[in-house]
Amino acid sequence: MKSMVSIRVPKKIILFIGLISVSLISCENFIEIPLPRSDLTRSTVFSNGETAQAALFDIYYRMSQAGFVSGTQIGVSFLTALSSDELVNYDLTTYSGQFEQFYQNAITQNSALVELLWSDPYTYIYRANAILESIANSEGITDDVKRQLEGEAKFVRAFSHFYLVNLFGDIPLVLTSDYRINAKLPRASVDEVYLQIVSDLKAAQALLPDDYEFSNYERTRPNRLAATALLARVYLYLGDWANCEIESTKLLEQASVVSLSEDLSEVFLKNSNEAIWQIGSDYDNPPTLMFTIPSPGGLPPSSALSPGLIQEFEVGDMRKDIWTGAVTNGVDTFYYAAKYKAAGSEEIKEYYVVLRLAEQYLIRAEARARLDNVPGAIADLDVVRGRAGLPLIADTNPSISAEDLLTLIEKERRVELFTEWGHRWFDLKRTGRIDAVLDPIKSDWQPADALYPIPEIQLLNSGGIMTQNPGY
Amino acid sequence: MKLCALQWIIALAFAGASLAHNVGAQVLDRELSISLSEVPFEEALQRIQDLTHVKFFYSPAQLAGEDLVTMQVDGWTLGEVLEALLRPRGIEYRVHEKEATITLRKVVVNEGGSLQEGQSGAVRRRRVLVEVTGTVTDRSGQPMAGVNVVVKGTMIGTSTDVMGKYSINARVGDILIFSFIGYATVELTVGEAAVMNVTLKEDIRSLEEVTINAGYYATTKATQTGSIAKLSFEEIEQQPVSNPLAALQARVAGLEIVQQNGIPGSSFRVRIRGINSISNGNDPLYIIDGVPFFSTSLSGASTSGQLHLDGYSPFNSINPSDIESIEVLKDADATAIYGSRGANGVILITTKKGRKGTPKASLNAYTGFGRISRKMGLLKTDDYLKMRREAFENDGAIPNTGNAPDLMLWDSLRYTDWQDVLIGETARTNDIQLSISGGGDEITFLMGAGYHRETTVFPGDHSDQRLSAHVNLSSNSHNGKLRTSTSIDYSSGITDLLQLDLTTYALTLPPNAPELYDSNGNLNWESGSFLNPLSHLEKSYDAVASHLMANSSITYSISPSLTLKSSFGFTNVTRDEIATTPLSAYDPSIRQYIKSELRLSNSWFRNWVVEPQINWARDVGNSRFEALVGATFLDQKTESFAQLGRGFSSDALIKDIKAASEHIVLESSFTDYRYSALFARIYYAWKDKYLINVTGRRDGSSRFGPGRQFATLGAVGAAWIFSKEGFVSRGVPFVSFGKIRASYGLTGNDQLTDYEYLDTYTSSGTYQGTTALTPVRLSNPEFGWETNRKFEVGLELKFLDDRLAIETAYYANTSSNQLVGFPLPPSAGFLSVQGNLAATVRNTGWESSVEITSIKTNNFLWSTFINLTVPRNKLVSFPNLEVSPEYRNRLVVGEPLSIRKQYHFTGVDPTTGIYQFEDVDGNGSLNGSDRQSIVFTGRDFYGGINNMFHFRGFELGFLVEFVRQGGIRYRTSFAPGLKGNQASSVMSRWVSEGDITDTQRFTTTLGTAFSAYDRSASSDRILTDASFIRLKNVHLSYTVPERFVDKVSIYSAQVFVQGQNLATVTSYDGMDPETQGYVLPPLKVISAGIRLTF
Repeated sequence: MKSMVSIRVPKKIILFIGLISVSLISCENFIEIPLPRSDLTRSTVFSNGETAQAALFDIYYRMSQAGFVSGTQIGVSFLTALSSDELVNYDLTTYSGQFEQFYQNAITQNSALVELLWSDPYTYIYRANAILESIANSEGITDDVKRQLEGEAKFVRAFSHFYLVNLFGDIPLVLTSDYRINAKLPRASVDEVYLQIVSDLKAAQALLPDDYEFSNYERTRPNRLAATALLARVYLYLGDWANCEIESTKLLEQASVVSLSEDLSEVFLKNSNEAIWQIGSDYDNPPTLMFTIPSPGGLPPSSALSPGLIQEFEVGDMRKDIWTGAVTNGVDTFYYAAKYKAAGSEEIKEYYVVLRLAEQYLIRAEARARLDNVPGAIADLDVVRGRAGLPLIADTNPSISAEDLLTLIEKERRVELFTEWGHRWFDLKRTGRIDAVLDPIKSDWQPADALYPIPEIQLLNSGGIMTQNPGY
Repeated sequence: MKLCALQWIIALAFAGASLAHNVGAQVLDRELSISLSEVPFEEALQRIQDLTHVKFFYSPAQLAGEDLVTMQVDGWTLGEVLEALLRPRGIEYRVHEKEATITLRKVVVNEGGSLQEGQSGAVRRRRVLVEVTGTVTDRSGQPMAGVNVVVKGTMIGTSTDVMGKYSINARVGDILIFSFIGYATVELTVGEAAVMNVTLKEDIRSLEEVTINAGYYATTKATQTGSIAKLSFEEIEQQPVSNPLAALQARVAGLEIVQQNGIPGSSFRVRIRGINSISNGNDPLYIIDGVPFFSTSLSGASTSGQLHLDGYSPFNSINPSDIESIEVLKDADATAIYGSRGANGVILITTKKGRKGTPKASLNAYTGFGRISRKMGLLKTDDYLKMRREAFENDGAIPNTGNAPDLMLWDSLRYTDWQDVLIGETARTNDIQLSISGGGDEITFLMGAGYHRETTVFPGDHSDQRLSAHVNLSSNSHNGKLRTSTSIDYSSGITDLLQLDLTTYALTLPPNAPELYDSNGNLNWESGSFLNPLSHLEKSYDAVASHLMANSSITYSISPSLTLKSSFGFTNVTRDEIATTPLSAYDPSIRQYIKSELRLSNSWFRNWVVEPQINWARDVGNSRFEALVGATFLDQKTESFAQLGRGFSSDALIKDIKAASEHIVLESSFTDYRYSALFARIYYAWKDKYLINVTGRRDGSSRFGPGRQFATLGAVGAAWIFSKEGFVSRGVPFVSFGKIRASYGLTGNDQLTDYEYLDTYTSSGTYQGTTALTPVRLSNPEFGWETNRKFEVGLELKFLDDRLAIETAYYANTSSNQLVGFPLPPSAGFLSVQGNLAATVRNTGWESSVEITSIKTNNFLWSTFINLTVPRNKLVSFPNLEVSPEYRNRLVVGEPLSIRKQYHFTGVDPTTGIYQFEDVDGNGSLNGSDRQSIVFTGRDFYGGINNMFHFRGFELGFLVEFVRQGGIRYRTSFAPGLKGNQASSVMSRWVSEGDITDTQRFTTTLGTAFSAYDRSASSDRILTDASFIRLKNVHLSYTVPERFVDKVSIYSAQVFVQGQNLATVTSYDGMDPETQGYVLPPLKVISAGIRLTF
């Protein structure tokens, strides 16, 4: 019977197996699939200027969404305002009370919010590095476009590193997109990081144009002015008063491009005169600004401007009327930041202002005061005070000492720049006044709280190279 | 001769006597089951004598030339057996009741047609062609249409007509096989008296006959070499469920099914023999009628993400009533033919096919009521306010309207049980199914339609509906060589639910929270101090889904042993969802800051598969050979598109995206997956005693980079049916069946996202009107298959005529070359990169199932089915785990994957009243290295016990599910003392110094107590015993006797009552031990309905 099996049947079987095998082999490339319709390879993206620019725009697009650079409750503006003395927190339940952690300066290293503050800027840095590396080898992109992209990418890298170094202290300085290198980077010192920031900003100054023509006159992409404004702030933070005055002066001399808005209610409008760099928004009157108004959860709002900040407004300060709002539950009144007002409107009226000129007056005022140029400092300070409808120092106290003037400048920064971009938090840190100011009002203030903890995931995933900040 | 004549006279006399006394029926009513294969006639008589204790008298000479007897019947009466055995041979019999003797006499039909005294004519009769006719009836005497009648060993066959009659040409001595699905097959030898009337009996789980669908081939329960469990439609239709996966719960050993929540459309987590993959898919492969089923939800995260965390289950599009059977393939022998997709097991779903016979319609309808099965004990207003005040006191804080509206603004005398208000409604289920099936030898058809509607336990009018249709058409050419089968399933789903599960509110809303409606019937916002949970009723979530599956197979038999087959399948699934958030969902005082929103999600899935295949099977002597070779070509595409519209001038326009002032595309994605394979199987059986099965597959998948797309996988399985050995059947006759089987093989896992190996950019959105392109991933083109080696050994035993059946198996599956996203520090710009990790995971376990037929009489049947699984899961190795970023804090070598590494909770400090944790490294602070306490959250064992009782027309069944497992205890995300309700058990908290308790003091501000509570989530304090015993299903049905329904021309009528999740015994402190957490638990459902066939 065996012979029956082996002689009669296999012919057919072999034939069929053969047929199937042949069809399969001929279909070996059956499983080769085309690229997804929506995807381009990296080399295609950087083979021409249009798509290379689209890769850059991804950074701004991400910034315009809820994230580190946003006015939402997970953005740097809100969280640092909680940590400093600008906001009172009422929300103890969202993110398991993590807003309260920022408010009480008791942030845990596993906080999802601190992880976001950390990882979001690094995603911008990765993209900026990928652009810098890819355009360098690209043949299809014109030199003009290359200069523009390189300048903006370097600006973004400096901007991201700037916030990281101020929030966290020593940080990995990331200058490549290669994850094999980046995964093993140790912390670089604050000085090293600033050296790179200055170098990137200077490069950006050299590469970028002075006006907004390249951006269709929308102030939604950084130009040379933005690089200069950030560089002035960097020198301020570094205490390099001379360079600080030089850079801010460069900017204040560009009156034809940027000038203070006369009307306080126009400062935060899109492409306002005062804006140096704004995050544009295609669809939204920034949902990104939600924290400035009572949240949908009803009263009490999840947070309110601190009574201390409200008291800082001098009588007659128009900024209190125009830039804050109030709600009441019938018993108590809660103030909120109302710099952005158009959130409910249908038309896009506002962009999110990252850099604006008023800050530069205050920067130069401070630099000049430090350099003992008191009249020059008063002049700059009075520009800001005058717009707010306040009496001018030049009239009320022209002989003020430099030291007292610095106190006035700090106060002016507080009421001008409140809930913007961590200014208050960073001012307290760089002037060394943080312990004196926060210890009395925060229940368990520790000097080490001035730096946020390195997020746990960074510690875990860097294989022991990364260290935690003291006190955590 | 003389003796014979005398006997004949005596016999006649007694026969008359017995007829006169009308007791002759008693002997002939004796029941017997007998299986004879080509035994001499006299030996057959001897066996019948032994079984029935009757005595035959006959002339040995007269019956000497009779043909060999083949007969296999189950539970027949002696009368039926004698009719079948003797009538075709022309042998008459007479019963002598008193002595229990039967005399036999041969009468033959000669050419003239007259009866003559028998004479020895065996040689002459042999091989004479006769036309055999007869009637096939069921136990109640009703004619059976569509019964297959085949001459054994040939392709000659026919089937019975409407009156149960058949006619077939066969030679004397041939064996006729009578078979019908669900009935025990009967084999009888053809004699020359050409009338053979046969009675078929329902097959009550006769193991020998259960055919098992193994995907590309069929086997039987008895001869399968692999581990395949089967669930038939009877068990599915006993359960009032809308999702076929729900019907599998607790019924199959080795299959772990967890319902995610009790909302219509909820998904199920299905694991066959544990978790194999550390980070990639652990879902089984689902195949419906040969076509891979896309088991990933098409729901849009932006529309339904808050309601169904894993999306709306795609299985809800499958009408359970259309399912004929579900097979679960577990071991290498069964799954290796699915190659790279078989690592996590395979679930095969077979839909119903048409049946021969006069067209019959059946109607099945039920209505049901569902409620939450358990409520949690929460604080009442008194205790709640006490907690709040104590918390402020403890913290030295002063309540104000900002931090304590519940104390300062709200009525302290109000009390509402929010569980009653928010999840306390009765969910209604209505289900109606109609189908018509019939056909003849050449064409059979089935047409069915169904409608299912379920509402929710939430307030408001919400429902989930499904309309479905199922068509099957099968053809068989006249010569039986060309067969086709085509099935089309279509279902349309209409979902109208909330965007959010209100259970969280029901459990945490303060008990003195304000009225939900004001005196005007509008939503109350209590001056803005309160987020009204009913505001979620203003938001809508609607979905329309369509699901089309079509498949057809063509089979052509070149010769009796060689068959070509090709199957084609096509699936097209769409799901369109709309979620609206109108301004009316917000407090009027803040509406000026808010924009109304519309979210649209449109998803689409399509696949096609072609599988040509050749089958060869041949019996040679005692050997049976089977072989198959086939190929698979699969193409699968998905597309999804999600949009957001914002800022509608009026809520009335909110469903029209054109009316939005802003329009954003949230997602637009497209994936293509292709897969091809060559597969083969060789099977050899000797005397159905020694069986060996070899399967293999060469696979290619588009999910891997160039050079890594192909893999070869395969398995070998073998079985020995030792009960067929003489020494066993003689030595231990009470063992009616015994089999040992074993298998070993290699399968793979390609469940990872498409395109992972590509370095690409895709558009993320627009900035200033210009497209933004974002890098999709960090790419690593180097990764390959995850492999899974499976070993299994099993023992199947049946005793006492199959009254007790035991099946037990041990399995050991080892997964290696694990595909993981290697975690990166966030400073690298991405959180992970895909790669293969040399880690090994092993799943071992014991599975047992037992079937006991405790009582089996004509009228009463009690059977019990028990299954038990004892799984063990272990991370065997993980090179450099201690420096592996993400995993060193999640996994421990030597421990299961389902663990958590936690702080060790050491109790509440009696002095401070705060949770304490062990500082393992003694460095004075708690950090990652102190998380050394290993908490197991998986299952220790689980199973089900199903009891079935049949009594006349009644059938009663109840299924008990039992699970022993660790789980996460109920714990609010905010500490007790904050605004929000708590489990009543928190009142055992620490109050003053010296208190010994396990609940820390109340707190309401951030402080050590607040952070200690937070840390307790990362401690072993959250572990609890989440074991449970659940009365999963009860069903009671009554089949109305035919004599009642016959009059109204109904074939059969049945009424039934079914219950699901009726009772749960558990010590779990939260809402439900199966779902855990804040979600709506599975509902307790009671339904009642009817089944009619006419």
